[in-house]
Amino acid sequence: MEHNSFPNTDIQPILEAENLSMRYEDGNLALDHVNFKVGPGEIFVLLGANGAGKTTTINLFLNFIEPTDGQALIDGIPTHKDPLAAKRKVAYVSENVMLYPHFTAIQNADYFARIGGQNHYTENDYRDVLRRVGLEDEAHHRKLKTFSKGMRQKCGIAIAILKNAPAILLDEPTSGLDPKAGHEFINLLHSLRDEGKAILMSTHDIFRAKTIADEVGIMNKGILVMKRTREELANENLEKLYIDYMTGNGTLGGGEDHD
Amino acid sequence: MIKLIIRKELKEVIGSPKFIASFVVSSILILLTFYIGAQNHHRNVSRYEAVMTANLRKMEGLTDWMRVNNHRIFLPPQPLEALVNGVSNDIGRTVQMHGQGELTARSSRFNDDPVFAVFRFLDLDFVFQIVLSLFAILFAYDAINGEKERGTLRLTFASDVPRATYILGKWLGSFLAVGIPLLIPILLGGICLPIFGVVLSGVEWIRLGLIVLAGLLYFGVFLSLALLFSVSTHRPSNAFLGLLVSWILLVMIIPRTAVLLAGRAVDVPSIDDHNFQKAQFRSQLWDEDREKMRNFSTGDATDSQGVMGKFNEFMSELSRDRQEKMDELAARLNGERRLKQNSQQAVAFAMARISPSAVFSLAASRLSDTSLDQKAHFLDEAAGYQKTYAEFKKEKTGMNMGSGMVMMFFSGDEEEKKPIDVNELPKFDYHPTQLGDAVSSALFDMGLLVIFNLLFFAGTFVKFMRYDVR
Amino acid sequence: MFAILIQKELKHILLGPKFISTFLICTVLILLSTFIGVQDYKAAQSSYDAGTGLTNQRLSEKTSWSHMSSTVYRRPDPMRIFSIGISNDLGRFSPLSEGEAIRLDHSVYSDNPIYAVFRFLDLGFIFQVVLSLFAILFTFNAINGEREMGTLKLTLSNDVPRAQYVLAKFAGSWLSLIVPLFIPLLISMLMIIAMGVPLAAVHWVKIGSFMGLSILYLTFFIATGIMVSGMTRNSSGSFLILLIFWVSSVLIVPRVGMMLAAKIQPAPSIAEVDAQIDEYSKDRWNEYIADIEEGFAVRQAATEGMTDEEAQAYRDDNEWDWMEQGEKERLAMQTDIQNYRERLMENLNGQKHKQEVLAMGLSRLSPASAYMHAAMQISGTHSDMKDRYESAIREYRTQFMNYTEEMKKKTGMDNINGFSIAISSDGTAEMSIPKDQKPIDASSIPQFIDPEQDFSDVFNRSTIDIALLLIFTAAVLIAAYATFMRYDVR
Repeated sequence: MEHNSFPNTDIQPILEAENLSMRYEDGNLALDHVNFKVGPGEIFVLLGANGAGKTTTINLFLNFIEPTDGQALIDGIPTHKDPLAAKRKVAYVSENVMLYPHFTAIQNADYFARIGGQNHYTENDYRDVLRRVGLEDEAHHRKLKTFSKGMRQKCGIAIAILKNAPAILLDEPTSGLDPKAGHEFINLLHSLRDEGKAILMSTHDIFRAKTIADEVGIMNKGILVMKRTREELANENLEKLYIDYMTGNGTLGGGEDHD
Repeated sequence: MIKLIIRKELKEVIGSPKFIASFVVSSILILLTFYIGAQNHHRNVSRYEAVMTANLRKMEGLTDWMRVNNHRIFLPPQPLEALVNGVSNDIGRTVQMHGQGELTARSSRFNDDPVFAVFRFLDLDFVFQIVLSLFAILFAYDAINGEKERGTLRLTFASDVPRATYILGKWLGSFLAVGIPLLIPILLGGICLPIFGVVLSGVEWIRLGLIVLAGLLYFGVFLSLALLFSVSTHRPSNAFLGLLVSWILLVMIIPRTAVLLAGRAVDVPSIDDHNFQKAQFRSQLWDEDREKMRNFSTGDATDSQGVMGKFNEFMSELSRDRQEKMDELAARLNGERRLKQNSQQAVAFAMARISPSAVFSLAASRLSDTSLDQKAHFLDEAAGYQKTYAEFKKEKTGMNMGSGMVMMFFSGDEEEKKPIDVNELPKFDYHPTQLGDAVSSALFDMGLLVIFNLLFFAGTFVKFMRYDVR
Repeated sequence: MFAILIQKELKHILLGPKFISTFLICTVLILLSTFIGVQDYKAAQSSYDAGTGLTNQRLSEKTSWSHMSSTVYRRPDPMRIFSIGISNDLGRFSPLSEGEAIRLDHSVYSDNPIYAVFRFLDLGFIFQVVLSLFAILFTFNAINGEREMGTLKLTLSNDVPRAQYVLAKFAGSWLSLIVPLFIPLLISMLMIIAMGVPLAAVHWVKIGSFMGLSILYLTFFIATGIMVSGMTRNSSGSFLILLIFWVSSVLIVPRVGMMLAAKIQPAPSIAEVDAQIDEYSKDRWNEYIADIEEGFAVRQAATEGMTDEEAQAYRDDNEWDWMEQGEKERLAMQTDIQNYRERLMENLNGQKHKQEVLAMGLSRLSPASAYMHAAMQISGTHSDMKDRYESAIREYRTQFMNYTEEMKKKTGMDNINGFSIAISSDGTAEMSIPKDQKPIDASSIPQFIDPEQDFSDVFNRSTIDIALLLIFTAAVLIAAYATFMRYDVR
């Protein structure tokens, strides 16, 4: 896939998957030579059904598992070679994060910010970020166990923002958000992009993928079957493409699907 | 409907990995308990026989019953003792016979073999009291709130199941699912007893059966308690935490604390105190008798046999008088002490009975005849035997026993004396308490266990009627 | 980084719902057990005082140094508050006389079996059973719980080295579980002092060792909890495993180990040995009587054919020799019996010792029994207390007997306890009872000094157990570290 859809090809990508592959012990491929790049100020969305390999991809970027072939690079650092250095450059939001139930929102934020190497924040900084992700002031000093799923998700995003890393990985961040919160979330993500972050996000929500993404990759059975930029999607119907690829009507590689 | 619920409960429990794990553990434990109990019993019996034989052998060859002065009797080991230890290892099991006066039981097993006192033994009381109660908790702590968390509770009550039926089915189901499998290793252990060479009498089988019944009741108590916690909390982890703390308190802390605190609250005069008083009285009596001895005269007897007779008669009369007075004092002191002990026991056990585990332990020790009463019972039996023994000695020697002083002359011209026949010695037959007595004294505690069951289940029932199934 | 992780761990445990309730329970139990321990110590002390008082009074009423006997009491040691061991199982006193065997009898439990029904609650028990369970309760979900909460992934998405993470887990749990315990432990120390228990410097050293040992024991359970939680995916699974481990190592293995040892390496009971001694004594006594009778017959034969005067003169000439001879034989018999008894006892103790070594070896498979062994050794209440005391009393008997023998020689044989009977040649007997005799000076009799445990001895005996605990803990920590390195955090 020689085609590069980046508007600015010369800039080094922050997140890069190079023939990224992962084989289970039973021999089945969980991920089959996946390639993509995410530059600064760009949102890349991995779209696919459950078990398509989206979370595996993210886990490989975080070195929670090691690739059997290829590599994942963050800011040019291969994650399986120097995981700690790579992880310094990335923030992470997981699906359905519980956080510490007996800590308040600020305590949770403080702990994870420090773990992320940010020791300089004041309480006001935390409050600003929590407000930015849409948590009301009264919630800042409440224990997490009293939070709804959506509120916990916001807290998780705040933690990712606080790390102030060039790359952000989001694993199904929109599941469990109501429409209003979903809208706010999209705005937040766009503003982060505008700050120059490279964002990799996985989802099975086609609608959100379309509205958020600068580029969408559709995954099926561990293979990245298709990539489309926002501009390309303006002329195409993503829903149809998705269903075609899921049911096997689309062809692999996707090179001839545009132009 | 209730059958359906019970059947579901049975299937769910028996299919779970924790059932298999705990069933294997408890089966091994129970069988081990029976095996070890049988081994202990054999050891106890062989030791008992050895000391019995030796007791007789040391008298063999003596030519005069007068010289027999260290006859001892022993508490014979009972097979149930090895299965439910009670205080059987703590009380003295040997009594030296004097022919009169107070008896003391000496040589408790733990005193002689303190290494066993370090960790005590593994017996059915322990297995039920500690291990099985823990398993009861493990199986029932999430009975209700676990179903709620999984969402199956809502699903169940989406159909027309009456709550009362449901909770009753839940209790019965978990009781049957965990209680019945427990009976298998117990039955197996019981069957193995004769194979291990321990023969129980019919009465002992009944006692063992009742102990197992009490054990099941006790198991039910903890099951009900776990259900109560399960309907009183919304998260299983909280129920478990609460149950674990309750378990520690009920099983480990309350019985011990109750006895140790209440025991000290009631002031029982110490044995040393009594010994002190007795010793003072004895020396006072001696002083008086010394005066009398000054006036001893042999009268008109001139030959040695006559002097010996006179002296022994005189001394034994004095000693009889002294002994009577001593006995009187001892009886008074012991009576007082026993009264105090009884009230101490009443207070201590009443407090301990807050805990079902103490209740079970008391019931089991009553049924196995290893309760506190064992010591008193043994001493009573020994006192009964002492009378027989004193009569026997009197018949053989023509003297009352006990002054500890006899005068003997040796002369070469006497004919060869025949050795005594030790088989003439009366046998000490120990009679355990009657089954009826044991059962009636254990009945109270078994009733209490039933009440605990009802109480906890009633609590569960009431709570469940108002339980928020969402 | 490490500091942040530990801080979080501390906060996480201290702010959790379990902490306050378990802390309160621990506090109450520690104070309760101390209170009970002190009460029990005081009861033992007062019964000791009564016993020794009675003995001293009896001695001071004696009017003669011959045939002296006494009773030796075991002085209760304050260390029993911490680990009661066999203090209440072992007899409180032993008779002390020429003829009787040294044997501690009349244990608290046999005299007052009510206390034996549910046994004792000491600080060692609280540590062994309750606190170890709590240690598990706080660590069973240390790692898999974080996985379930999603925080493990979140934390490790940062540049946190796993080694630091697992070490911080351990250090944080350790600090938040152990340090709060110092509060009730300090209060209980104050309580012991305030309630008037006499503590010498040596006791403080022992108490310090006891506390150190107890903390080591809890450390083992904390490490085990973390290890198991790092080996399993779900916290419910790790809890079941830990609970079964706890039940078997704390409650079952120690007991079964003891009993298997008795089965593999049987030793005769004291009652059996007693019976053997009785039998030997009887034989020896018969021999002695036969000798006397023989001697009597010889003398009878010698005077055969003499006139009454001649016979009397012969008797007067030899009376002293005969008496000396008789006394010598009597002493020889006693020594023989004594030697026989000692040989048998030595033999028995040897067998018991073998049994004990095996039993302890087997039970040491469980860290809980290693802890108990070491705690009892430090407190001096382990089963070797019996031997220690009985041999000390045996030594004291020699001292006591030598002293009374010496005093007897000094004061002469005139003063006789009790009475004497004189039989004149015409066959009449006269009894003389000494009266108004001056009592002996009993205060000069050497006192029994309770055997002190040698520090090196305590050290030698408890080293294995302490070393075992250390090894167990280290092994578990290494295993926890190694498994977490490969833990699948997903």
